[in-house]
Amino acid sequence: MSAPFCVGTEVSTLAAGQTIQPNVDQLCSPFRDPVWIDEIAFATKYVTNNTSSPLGAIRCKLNMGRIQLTGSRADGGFIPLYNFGPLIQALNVETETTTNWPTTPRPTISYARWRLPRPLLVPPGSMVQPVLSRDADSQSGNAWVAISYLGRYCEPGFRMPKEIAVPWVSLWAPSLASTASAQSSELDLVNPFDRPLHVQRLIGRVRVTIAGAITNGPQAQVVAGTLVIKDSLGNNVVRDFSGFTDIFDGPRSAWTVGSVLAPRERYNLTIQDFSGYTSPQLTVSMVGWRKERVA
Amino acid sequence: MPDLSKFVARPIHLTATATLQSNSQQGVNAIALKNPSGEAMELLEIKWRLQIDYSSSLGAAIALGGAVACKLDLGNYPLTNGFVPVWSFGRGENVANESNYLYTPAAVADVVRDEYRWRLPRPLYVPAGAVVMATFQNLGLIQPAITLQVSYSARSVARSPKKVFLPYASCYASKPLNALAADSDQSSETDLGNPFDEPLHLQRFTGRVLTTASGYLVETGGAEYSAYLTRVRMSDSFGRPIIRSLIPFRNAFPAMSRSWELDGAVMDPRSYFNVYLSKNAPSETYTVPFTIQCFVGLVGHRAVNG
Repeated sequence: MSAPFCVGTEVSTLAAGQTIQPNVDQLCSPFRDPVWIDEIAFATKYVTNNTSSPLGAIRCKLNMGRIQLTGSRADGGFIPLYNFGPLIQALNVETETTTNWPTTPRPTISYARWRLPRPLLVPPGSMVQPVLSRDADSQSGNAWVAISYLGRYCEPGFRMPKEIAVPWVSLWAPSLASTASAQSSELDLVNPFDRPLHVQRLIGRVRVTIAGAITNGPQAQVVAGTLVIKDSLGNNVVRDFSGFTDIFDGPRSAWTVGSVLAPRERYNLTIQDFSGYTSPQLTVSMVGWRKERVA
Repeated sequence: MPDLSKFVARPIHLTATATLQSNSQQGVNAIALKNPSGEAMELLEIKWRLQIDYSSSLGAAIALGGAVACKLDLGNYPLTNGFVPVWSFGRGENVANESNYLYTPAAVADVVRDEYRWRLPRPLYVPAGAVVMATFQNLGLIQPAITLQVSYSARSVARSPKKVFLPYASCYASKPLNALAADSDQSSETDLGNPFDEPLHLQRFTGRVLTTASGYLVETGGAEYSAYLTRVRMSDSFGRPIIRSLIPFRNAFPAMSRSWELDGAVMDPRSYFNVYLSKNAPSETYTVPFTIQCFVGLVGHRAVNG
C-alpha cells in the first residue's frame, strides 16, 4: 500500500550573510525504494520580534543529483522562501510575531509551503538536497530554519518510468535600491531546458524595511510600482503598465498562468515607478515543471 | 419509472442547533438533519459554528475548535472514531478568520464565534429517510456554555450507487504538555487506526496546537511558538517510519493549511499509526506559564457495496 512519507531537518545557526547545508542524511528515504514528494514545507524563527517578514531574506536552493529544481541568474539558484508557493493565508498567519507572548525575547515565526505542481518521483538512493542562505538582513541573532518533504511511499512492485516530471522555480530579483525602474534579462524567467516548461504560476512578492522592521504587508505592496510583461516572441502578456498588486493580488500574491514555454523562451518583465523605502526587495518567481529522463 | 435523463440535482442545506454546557454531551435534533423531501441525498460538506458570549477573561480569539468534539454516525456505520475535535476534520483554509469577535447591539453581549468546515473526501450517499447523526461533547476546557450549529451541504441524487464511500475521521489529542520543561507523549493503538476490513484511502492528517495561557485558549496570535517547541515522529503498525525522525510539528502539518494533504495514500486494514511527541525546554525565558496540547487528526474514506 502507498503509505504516507515525511522527512525533515533543521538548522539553528543561520547567521546573516551565511550559506549552510542542512544534514541531508535525515532527508533520505530509509529504504532503497522510490518515493513521491507532494509538498515541501519551510519554517523559520528569528530571535526577536522586530522582523515582520523573514521569508524574503531566507532562501533555498534545491537539486536532486544532477537535476536542478531552482535557478536564478544572479543568486546562484537561491529562491526566497515566499516565492515557492502562493500566499494562502493572511500575512499574520504566514509570519506570526509574538508581541503578546509570555517569553523574553519574543521571536518571529514564519512559514512557507510549496505544493509541487506535479508530484516529484525521487528514484531509489536519491534525495532532494537543499542549501539554505540568509541575506545580510541586519536582524540580530541566528535564524532557525526547518525544511521537510511530505509525500508517499510508492506501491510495492512500482516500476520506475523513463521520464519523470520535475518541478522548477526561477527568479527575477531586480536591484531597486538606487533606481525606480528595472527590466528582466534573457536569463531570468526563461525556460533553460531543451524541453517545454509547463508554467503553473508567477508569484510576485515585495518587501521593504520600515523603522528597522522588514514588512511585506500592504505598505510594501502600495509602493511596488507598475509592471508590463511580454514573452520572447513579442506577444503582450500584460500590455500596459499595470499595478503590481493588480497582477499579483494581495490575497494570493500569485497569478496562476497555466501556460507552456517552448525551449529557450522567456517572459520579459519591466517595472517602473517603484518608490520603495529602505532596502526594497521585489521578486517575481516562475513556478512550473518539465520532463526529465532518469537513468 | 422516473425519467432519469431529466433528473437535475438540487442543492440541499440542513442545520441543527444545540447549546452545550461545560463537560457535557448532547445530540442535536435529528429531524432537522433529515432531507425534508424524503429522498436520498449526497452529503458533500459539513460545517460547524461555535459561539460563546465574550468574556474579558477568555479574550477575543478562542480556539473553540479544540474545545468541542463531534461524533458522526450513519445508521450502524461509524463515521468517526468516537468524538473528534471539530477543527480536526478539515483543512485550515482561512485560519485568521476561523475565530472572530463580533460586536452586537448595546443591549446584547458581544460574542466570539468560531467556524470550521469539512469537505468530505467523497460525497456520502444518505439513503431516503436516513440521517447522519451528530453528537457533540464539550470538553470542559472553558466554563461558559457553547452554542453550536452543525450544517450539512448536500444535493439530491437520482439513484443509489453501486459503491458507497463512507468518510472516516479519528484524532489523537495529546495530554497537556508542560511548556516550562521538556515533556513528551505518545498515541495509543486506538487513536489513529483503521478498524475496518477495507483499506482506508487517506485524505489528510490534520495538525492543530492548542495553547493555554492565563486562562486563554489560543491557536494563533503568538501561539505558534508552542508549535515551534514541539517535535513529532510517526510510524505505522508494521514498524515503517511515516515521519522518519523527530521534526518540528509544523513541518509535518504545515501551518499554511494546518494539515498534511495525503491524496493517494492508503492505510491497510486493521492497521494504525503511532505518534510520538517530544517538547523541548525552550531557550527563551517565560514570564507566564502555559501548556501545549497537540491534536493529530486522520481523515479518509472507505468503500462499501451499496
